Amino acid sequence: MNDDQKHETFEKLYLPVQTALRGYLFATTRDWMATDELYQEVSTILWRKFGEYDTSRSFRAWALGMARLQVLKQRQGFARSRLVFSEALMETLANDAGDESGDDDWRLPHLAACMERLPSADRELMGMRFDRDLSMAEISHKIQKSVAAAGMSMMRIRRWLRDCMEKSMATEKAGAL
Amino acid sequence: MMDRSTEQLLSRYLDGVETPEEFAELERQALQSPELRRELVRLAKLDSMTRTLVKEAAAAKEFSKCGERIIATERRRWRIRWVCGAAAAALVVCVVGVNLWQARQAEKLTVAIGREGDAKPPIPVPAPHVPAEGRLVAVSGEVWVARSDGTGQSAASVGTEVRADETIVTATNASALFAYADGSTLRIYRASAVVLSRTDAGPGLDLRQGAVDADIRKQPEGRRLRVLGELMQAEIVGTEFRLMADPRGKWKCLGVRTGVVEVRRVADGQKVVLKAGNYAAVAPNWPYMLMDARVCPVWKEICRAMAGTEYP
Repeated sequence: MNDDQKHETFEKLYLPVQTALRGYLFATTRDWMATDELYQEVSTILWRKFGEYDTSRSFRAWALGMARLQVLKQRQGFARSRLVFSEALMETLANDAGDESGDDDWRLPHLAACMERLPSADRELMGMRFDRDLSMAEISHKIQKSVAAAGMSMMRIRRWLRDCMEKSMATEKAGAL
Repeated sequence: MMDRSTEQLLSRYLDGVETPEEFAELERQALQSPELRRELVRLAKLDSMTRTLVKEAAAAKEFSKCGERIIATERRRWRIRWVCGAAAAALVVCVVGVNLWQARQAEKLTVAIGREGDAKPPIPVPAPHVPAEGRLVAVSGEVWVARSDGTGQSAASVGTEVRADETIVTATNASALFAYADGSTLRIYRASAVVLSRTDAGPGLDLRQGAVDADIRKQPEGRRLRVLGELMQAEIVGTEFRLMADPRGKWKCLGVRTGVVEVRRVADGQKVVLKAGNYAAVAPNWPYMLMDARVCPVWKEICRAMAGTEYP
């Protein structure tokens, strides 16, 4: 395989697993900085070790396995600031996330369309949480609600976005049939 | 579908507001329930996708503001140049032009990531059919490549090819992994700008601002990767190193992780040989160039602090 072919093969395999990778990293760290750093580390390692990848195996499972190793390596660092899952659970989560049959096939355009339909107050909340990376305590202070109430709003928005995304995907599938 | 209390527990966990008791309960349940684990990964994935979109929207807004500033500054600069040209002798105009060109070159890259002070530098026209130096193999957040073919900046994604005389720019919330054709990589951190170049002697890179971790494969016989810049220069045969640069061009820092690198201070030609763990920082009128980070970890911290932002 020449370099161009290697690049192309890597991209083809890597692109569909990016979201699952980031999802796993965030599920285990709950820290966007750590997630971003680990994501870069894992991407580098996947590219470096791509020559060792056995094409008869699932790339997704291989990638999630690498992600798990990196999370475990740096676990001590983020364990100081918050509660962190046991190694056993991290491994099980990586196996689950690496299982292609469990993939929801969620797509960003669907989510983008749903986010546009969110009320402006909810979009603002999303901005505070995901763009400015504010903690729930900071958000609750800004919106002058309790932390519990802010948390309930987040849960409601997550549920709504998910339902909306799944509905729009189902509609798209039905239209394609 | 999860029951309401489990959904709430997962949501509280992802928001980082769960109590230690809730955390223990979640961990206990997750170890037993594949459904709960799938739900957790699914919700984290949803958060990650939401964050990507929210960041993209915010960056697009900022980028558009930047564009307006660039246009305004360009107009202002053209007006100034026109007045100068009409008023001054040809020799004076030449001097002013050179100064403007230098100022614009130093400032341009900060524009792309939303700083004050901006202007587009002259972008060299490439030779036709310039082969790509490599591609971006991982991208997180907003990353652009300033094209040398006159098309200006374009958003980059995984697979984007980058050629000599092109610049990779990462926004303040972004990072990228660039792979050269020989497998060498540049890990480009947030708020960075790296100009790639090439001569017969091999590839070159000039970090205008930000930070880069380079892992350079052994270069072919007689070839070197050249680290360029107005403050320090180095020739790399094959090693891992980190470069950091102040956006105003006031200092540059190089730290070696593996191998050996000879760094030359451009101002006086002074050279130092850096081994693994050594850092060299160069700034005008600053006599120090070398410190061993293993002996004096403060040195590494100084380089990090000078970057003005937290790099790992």
